Amino acid sequence: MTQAEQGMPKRLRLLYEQHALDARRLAYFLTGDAALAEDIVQDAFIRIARRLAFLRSEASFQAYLRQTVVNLVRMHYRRRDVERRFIEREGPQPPTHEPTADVVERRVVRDELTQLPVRQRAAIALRYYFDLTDAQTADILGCSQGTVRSLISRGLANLRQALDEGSHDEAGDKR
Amino acid sequence: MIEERVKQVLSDMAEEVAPRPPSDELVHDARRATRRGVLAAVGTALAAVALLVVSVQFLAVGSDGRDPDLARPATSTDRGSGRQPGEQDPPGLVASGEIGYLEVGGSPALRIQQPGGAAAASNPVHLDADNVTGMDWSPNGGRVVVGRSLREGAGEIVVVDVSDGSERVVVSDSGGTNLNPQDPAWSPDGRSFAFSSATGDLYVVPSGGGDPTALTKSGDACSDLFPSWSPDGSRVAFTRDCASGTLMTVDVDSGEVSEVATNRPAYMPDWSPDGRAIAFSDLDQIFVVGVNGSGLRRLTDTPENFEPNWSPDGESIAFVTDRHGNQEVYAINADGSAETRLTETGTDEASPAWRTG
Repeated sequence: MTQAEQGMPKRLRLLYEQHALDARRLAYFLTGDAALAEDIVQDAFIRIARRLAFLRSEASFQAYLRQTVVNLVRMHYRRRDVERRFIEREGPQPPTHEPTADVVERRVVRDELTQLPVRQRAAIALRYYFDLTDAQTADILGCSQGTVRSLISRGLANLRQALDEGSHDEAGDKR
Repeated sequence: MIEERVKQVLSDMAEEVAPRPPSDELVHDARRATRRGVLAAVGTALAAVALLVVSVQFLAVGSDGRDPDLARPATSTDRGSGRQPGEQDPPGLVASGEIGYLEVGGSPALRIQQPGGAAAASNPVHLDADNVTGMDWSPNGGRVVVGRSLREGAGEIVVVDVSDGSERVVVSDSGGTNLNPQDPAWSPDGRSFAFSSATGDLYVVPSGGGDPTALTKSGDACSDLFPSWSPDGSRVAFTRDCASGTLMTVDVDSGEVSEVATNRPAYMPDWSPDGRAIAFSDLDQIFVVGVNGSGLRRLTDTPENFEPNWSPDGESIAFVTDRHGNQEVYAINADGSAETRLTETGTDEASPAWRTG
């Protein structure tokens, strides 16, 4: 335990130990920026620390933490042009060696994932990394399960299209 | 499979995130919050004692002198929209009348306001739920039908009287239906609700209660979502979501299904009051298309707009936007002019619906 962690109230410290890494991963999925993800998770815990006495259970804490992270990311990307500038600035660096087809595909999916609207990104991350159900995701995003399914299918369609276009570009390059 | 690729990418990204200790600011703030929490708990206990004393006194003296508006649920005539008498609607927005919407951040509530009203100043009707999943007005505008989630994977359809906040459950998984009903739509004749379900099919149920019957069969790979009645009640528009959303309509009597060509993903349709067009969202922009697939036009040009809803006069369309980092209600004229912000709350709003009747 670090000195900083020792200085925290015990309940919050335990919750931080159990959930901060997952929350940081969610924020990273949504931003593609590790430093920004770190700031967002610290901010989320600061907000939650102020309401700790009102949280009923650990399950509700985890859902509330994820909801807070998603909302903070949405607030961060308040204007789409800010988001686009960020992506242009922080986009992946060119490879230093000839990438394999698998690496290219992953890079295309990753790039496109980072450019999806935040709600689509969040729905996909909550489904495909955290294995949440439609109902759990709907509660975090504050929408119906139908909307969750739509966000996921729309996001996957965008990714599929980007992969198709990427493979066409690849084929064009080889010709 | 794209799903497998996504899982690989997310797994790769997860590996790039390492555990980190809490920041000094978090530790400092947590200590301060804990101290405040103790003080707040003491304050709450004192307040509770004071309230008890006042309640006992009140019961002893009867109701004389009490303020009749205190603790009274919202009514249809005192929804404090914040608009002053004589104040005009925002210039350019053709439709007037009240708009209901769900406040989904925190404790869910129904709010009602005028297009020109102050932000979220109307009295809320609180809905006892962790999450609400769509709403629609009764044809005479006196009640709303709301979907709400009960617990993991279960839900119910509830009719709420906006004059007193009273509720009547129409479909409930706790009653054994096991459908997880969502996104209810009230039929124009007032006799039925259409709703979507976790089964992937659309259902219809009598508004007075009864057994739901399937309206569509989506198949294993698809989900039928977001029903919206045609004004004559003969058809229901909906999204068939397979690999992407397709705009469909179904004949209520025969079950015959037709596709409306939109040349783009189509979600959350809303049938126009004159029956000629359907508004929808591709989860980014709001569009209007003729029911025969003609005359597709885009109304918005800023990102992330969804849940369109026609005004009863067909002149304007309310919708939700996430462009500010939280969901707010906007409206725009059906010709794409005069886009107008209606709420400015900082929390999330959903399912705007112009009051009918």
